[in-house]
Amino acid sequence: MDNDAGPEPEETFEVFFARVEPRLRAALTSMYGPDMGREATAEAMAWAYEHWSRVEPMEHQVAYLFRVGQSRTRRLRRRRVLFPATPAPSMPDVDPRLIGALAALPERQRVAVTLVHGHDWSHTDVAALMGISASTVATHVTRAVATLRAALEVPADDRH
Amino acid sequence: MTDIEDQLRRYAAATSRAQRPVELGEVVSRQGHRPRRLLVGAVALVVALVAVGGAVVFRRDRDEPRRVVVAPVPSSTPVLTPRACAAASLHVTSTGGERLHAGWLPPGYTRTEGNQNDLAALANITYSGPATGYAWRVSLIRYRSGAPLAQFVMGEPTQHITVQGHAGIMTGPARPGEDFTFVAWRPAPGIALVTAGWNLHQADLVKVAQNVSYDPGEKFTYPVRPVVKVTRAEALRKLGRSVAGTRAALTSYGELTKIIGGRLPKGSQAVIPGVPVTRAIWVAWTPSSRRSDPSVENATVVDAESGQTIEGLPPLPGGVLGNLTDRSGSVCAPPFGVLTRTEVSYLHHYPTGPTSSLKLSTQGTLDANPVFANFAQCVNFACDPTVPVWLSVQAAAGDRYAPDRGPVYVPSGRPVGGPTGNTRSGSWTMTAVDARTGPQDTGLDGSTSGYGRPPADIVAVRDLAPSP
Repeated sequence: MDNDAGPEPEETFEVFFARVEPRLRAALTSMYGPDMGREATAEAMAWAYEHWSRVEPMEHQVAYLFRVGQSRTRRLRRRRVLFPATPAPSMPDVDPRLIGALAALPERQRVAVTLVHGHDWSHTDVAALMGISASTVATHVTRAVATLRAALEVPADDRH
Repeated sequence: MTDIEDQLRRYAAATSRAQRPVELGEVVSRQGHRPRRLLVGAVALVVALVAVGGAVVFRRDRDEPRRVVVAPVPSSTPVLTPRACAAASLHVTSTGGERLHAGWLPPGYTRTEGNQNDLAALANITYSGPATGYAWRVSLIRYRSGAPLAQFVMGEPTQHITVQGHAGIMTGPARPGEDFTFVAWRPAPGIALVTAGWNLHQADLVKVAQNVSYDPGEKFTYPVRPVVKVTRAEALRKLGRSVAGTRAALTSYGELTKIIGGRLPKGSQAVIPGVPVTRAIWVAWTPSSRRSDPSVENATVVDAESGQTIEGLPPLPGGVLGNLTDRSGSVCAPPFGVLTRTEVSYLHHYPTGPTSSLKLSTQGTLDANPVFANFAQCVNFACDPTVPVWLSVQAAAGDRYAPDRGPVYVPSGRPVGGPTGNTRSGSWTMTAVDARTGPQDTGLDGSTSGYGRPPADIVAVRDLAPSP
């Protein structure tokens, strides 16, 4: 059985790059922190450049490259602290405990909660990225928020 | 104190502000120009066109084959005497013609990723459902591993089932909408097949698995000394002209397509029905002498055994074919179909100099050394130890390296920014790529780095193809 997809509309790599890079970087930064997230994004986009004929027709390019970024930086991650122990000076209004608490979350929870609440991704978008159902994303987010609240000692009803 | 959601929003915004976006130029320069995957499509076409018995062509247009004009070129005899060196006796094996496809799919599912007719190393065929969304799909995956099947699946509970007469396992929820469902079985020793369903009923996934068709293909050994009956002079005659500067190189189909893969004009594609990557060929070309069009090379390809002429190559930028290693005569080179030092340097833009090294090694060597553990990132679990690998090591003694700040390299004399207590002097970077061409190329492209001088284990790796 061969169900080849039909011809796909053409998109230049430059247009693709401008469209995909910010979202891919947000996703990989959520997973690996700012430094390794950027490195993984660069690696994944380089891979896409190299394999453009293969990437171009993909329906879920960000999700695929998300995995490429993980694979391409696996070795680098073994040696490095991904999330700095203290927030950078550029984050004066971020609770210093947040980054450590984020780093302590399971990867899936960290990615889900950061993308949903930090970058306003929909549950559906995160589900597509991670290859899981939207309901599972919601579960991850709920659990992550509960863990972060406990870590930062924020009452559940302390909303503005 | 604000709520967590607000904190996350501020954190994400601050991170985005502080983080430098990846630039397009950075991506391009990081990769150089490595047209690796164009080859996969080309070789897939090979398999497809073999079935219809097509001619061996690089199809540029439908013109008649050019008339052969015997030019007054010097006569010579076939010479293929690889210089005695470790590379020339390297035992390299691969599998070709491996196929995997679904014999039954739920209604409306169509293939969206993967090549069913030549799996290559990344053996993952994905079929997506009619509904929009990534979560409706089923994948077929082949692993080369004798590890327990449980390693290839996720979730609970595990049930034992029989798939096509083989013992298998199934995990995952009974109803769709709850993550993954997996079926795994072993059709042959050392091979594991997995069907993974997202939002698919277990019964449907089992039916997919029961109807999967898998052809393991055939293992082949790369030839060091393929049959070469055609002389250089005969190959040059096929060009049909006598022009000063005409050149010819004895190489392999895999190397040629790798070198030219990313340089083909848009819409052109190398079409070589039935030619394996190891096939010895002569490439003869005449660099253009026209000042107005210096980028065009006229070239022809001749089967080195049969003498069959292949139509002219599409126009190529000047200098591309000059990166092929001429394997005639006495050279220390790996088997045909495996990239040589010259070729891999061109494709990957490896620098040369006293602080850089490029060595031919093997996957087995990397696996046996603790410095290289997991370096290969083998996508198919069990990397063949015979896989030839080009290993590049670059050192920068003048750099400072901040281990606690991720992959940050700071030139001497410039501020590191942030804590500098852990900054070390010097840095090194090591990369390794699969030296094979065609679908056998695993896409291995691992890299690692560190501070100070390169570890002794890296420096001590033996070069199987030392420079003369």
